[in-house]
Amino acid sequence: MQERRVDSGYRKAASPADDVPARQTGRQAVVPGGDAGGHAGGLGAAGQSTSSPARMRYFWAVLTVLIAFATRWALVPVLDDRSPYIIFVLAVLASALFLGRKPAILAAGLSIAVGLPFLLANRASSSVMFTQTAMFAVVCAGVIYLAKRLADKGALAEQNRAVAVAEAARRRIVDEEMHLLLNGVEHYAIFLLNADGSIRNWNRSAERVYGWSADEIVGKPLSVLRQNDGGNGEVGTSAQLEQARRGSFRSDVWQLRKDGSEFLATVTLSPLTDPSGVVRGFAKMIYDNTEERASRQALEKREQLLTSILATVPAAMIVIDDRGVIASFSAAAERLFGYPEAEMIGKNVNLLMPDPDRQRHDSYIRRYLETGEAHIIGIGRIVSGRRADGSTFPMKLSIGETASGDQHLFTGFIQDLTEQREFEARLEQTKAELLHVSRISAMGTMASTLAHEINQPLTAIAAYGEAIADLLSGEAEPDREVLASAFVDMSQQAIRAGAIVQRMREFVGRGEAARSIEDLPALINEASVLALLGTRERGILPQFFYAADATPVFVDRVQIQQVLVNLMRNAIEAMEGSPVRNLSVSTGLLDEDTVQIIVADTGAGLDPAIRGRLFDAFATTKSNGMGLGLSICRTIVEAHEGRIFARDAQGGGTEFVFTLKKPRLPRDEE
Amino acid sequence: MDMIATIAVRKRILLVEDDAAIRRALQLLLTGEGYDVRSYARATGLSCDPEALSADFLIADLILPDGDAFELLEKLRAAGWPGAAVLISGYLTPERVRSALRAGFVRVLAKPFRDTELARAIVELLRP
Repeated sequence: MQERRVDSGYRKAASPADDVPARQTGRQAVVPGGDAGGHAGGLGAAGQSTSSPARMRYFWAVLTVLIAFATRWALVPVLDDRSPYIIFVLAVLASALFLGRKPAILAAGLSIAVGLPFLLANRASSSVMFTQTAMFAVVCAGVIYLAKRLADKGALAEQNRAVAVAEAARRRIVDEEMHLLLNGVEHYAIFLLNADGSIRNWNRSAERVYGWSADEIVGKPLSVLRQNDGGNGEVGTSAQLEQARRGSFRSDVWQLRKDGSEFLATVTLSPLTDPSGVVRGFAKMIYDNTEERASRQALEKREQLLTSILATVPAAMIVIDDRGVIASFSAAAERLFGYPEAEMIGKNVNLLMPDPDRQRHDSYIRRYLETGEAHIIGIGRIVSGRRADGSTFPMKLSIGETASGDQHLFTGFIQDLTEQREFEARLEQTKAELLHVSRISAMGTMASTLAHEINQPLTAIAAYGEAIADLLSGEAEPDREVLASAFVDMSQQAIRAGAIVQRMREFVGRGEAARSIEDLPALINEASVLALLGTRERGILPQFFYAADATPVFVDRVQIQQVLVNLMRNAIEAMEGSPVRNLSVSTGLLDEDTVQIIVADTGAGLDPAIRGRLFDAFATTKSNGMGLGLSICRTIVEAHEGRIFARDAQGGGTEFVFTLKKPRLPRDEE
Repeated sequence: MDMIATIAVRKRILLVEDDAAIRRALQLLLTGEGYDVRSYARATGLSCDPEALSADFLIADLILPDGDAFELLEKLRAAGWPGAAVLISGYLTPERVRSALRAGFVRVLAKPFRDTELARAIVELLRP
């Protein structure tokens, strides 16, 4: 039914009628036209005709008949019995047009009844009377029918009008919204081009972006919106339109404003084709993205700078996430470990560790994340790394913690200590060589003394030998006791020589640089064997004072004996020409784990010229010395965690003092 | 980026350079540094244009298709423009530099210059 379609149309329309329920709307639309009652009954849902207006209509219908009756009655003198019903047609017509079908039928019936007197006043034949009545009835029927048709048409026209109004309203809203869209946005503009590329329409957004007003720009070619300097390789306007014709064109293009200034925009040209496929025009959409492009460029520049800086960082750098998975592996790391970055990303970093760290690393990370205790993060440690070829090497590892977005990351910087270790090892070796060489050299300076000292026992042995030979080759029976004591003396001399040789061998031996627990008095006694060679004749009086608690010490035996020999011989030389020549070596306990040894002489004292530089290398007042002795003593003593210094002795002479460590009792290592 | 947020306090630079490649590169560079840039290929009409006159700085190429930077600066000053001006050129001689400084250009940069040189020059102009 047409009415129902109109209903749904009404509901969608934006017209004010929207708020009114459909039924009343229909009535509102139709009443000015005509037959309201019947349509109200037919519209929408069933049974909405209210009874009182309908009753009113019947009342009006009756009233029109009565009016007609009165009129006809008034006209009796004029009309007599002619045209009895004609006036009633008006009543029926009025009822049909204004009151509805049923009231009209009532009016018709009532008219026939009420008009009878006029009819009968005639005394015409019954056939005439009947014909007149019948004709009146037919006319009424026709009038009622036509009135209804008229009303229907009117209603239909009204509905169409209402639909058109609603449609127009809707379109207006859409237009307004489109208008707002096209004119309100900033930085965007959409407008239409003709098929030849000239500008077809314009709006305020486009005006804001380009500066041109609609009057100025509509009809002009598209190229007006661009700089006409060839564009450095940008696609020309006609080429853009060509591309758009074939599909669409989209690119960043520099645009020109009315005032001559430029901006960069993303331009999209879309073809508008009609159903037959002919391109009727184009839609041009632009977005001013100068800022975006500028900031992207600036960002890229910064990123490049950062990347190139990181690439030149000499330390190997590895970034891992909180599961130990490698996220980044620098060029230096590639060289150090022997894996390319592409291979390492995604693998667990424990691949680069030897056992046991390899198995434990995941738990190290977990422990840190749970407890927050740093064992290496922010502290740095020396650990072992494992190269691709399986070899391990020492490395210094520093780890920092960082977060990026929601990711927990750890950055590790690795310093390869292999070279450093090798260097240190070589250095140690060189030092040991130096000490060794100086020992040999010390022996060298004592060569004549040594020779003399060894020669004496040998001479004595020779003498004894000759004496024994004489005794045995003589006539007399040799006295057994005399022989025995001669042999005993001989072997003692041999032992004496042997001891000196033994001492010497030990002294100049390279020796393993090993420390051991030594009895200090024994150590000093052995050293003094060499140191005091040849001093008996010179009248030097050696004295040894050993404190009972100043022993044992944890030292490199040969090296400390080197120090003692050096100090004692220096002391002996210092006393050359002195009236009193007392050499004393004493030990004492300085504190719980430190022992102090003093080598004192009664010589001339320290030369003021050299006092400050006593322990420096190459510092000497001797004409034939390199001056290395005391500097080497200092090196040895300090390597033993001790101190060495010199001071004037009370009553004249010099004291050289140095300290050594007692062995530490074993306790739990951390 | 926060640049949009600071739009209210951005300094405006008037850039006049007829070489499109240089002009566009400078526009993007200076926009990326946070300035509001109006770039033009020629000087015509700038001294009457309120957009141009609202600029804080001028960067102009010495030789322009419709005149030169000196004329432009003169016209801008005549229109009451108080901003600081920088001259750029690939054909600088000591004499030209002197006349530029006399004419009121605060800095003179010889092309080609590094991005950082220009950026620094502007920053120095910002200092009171």
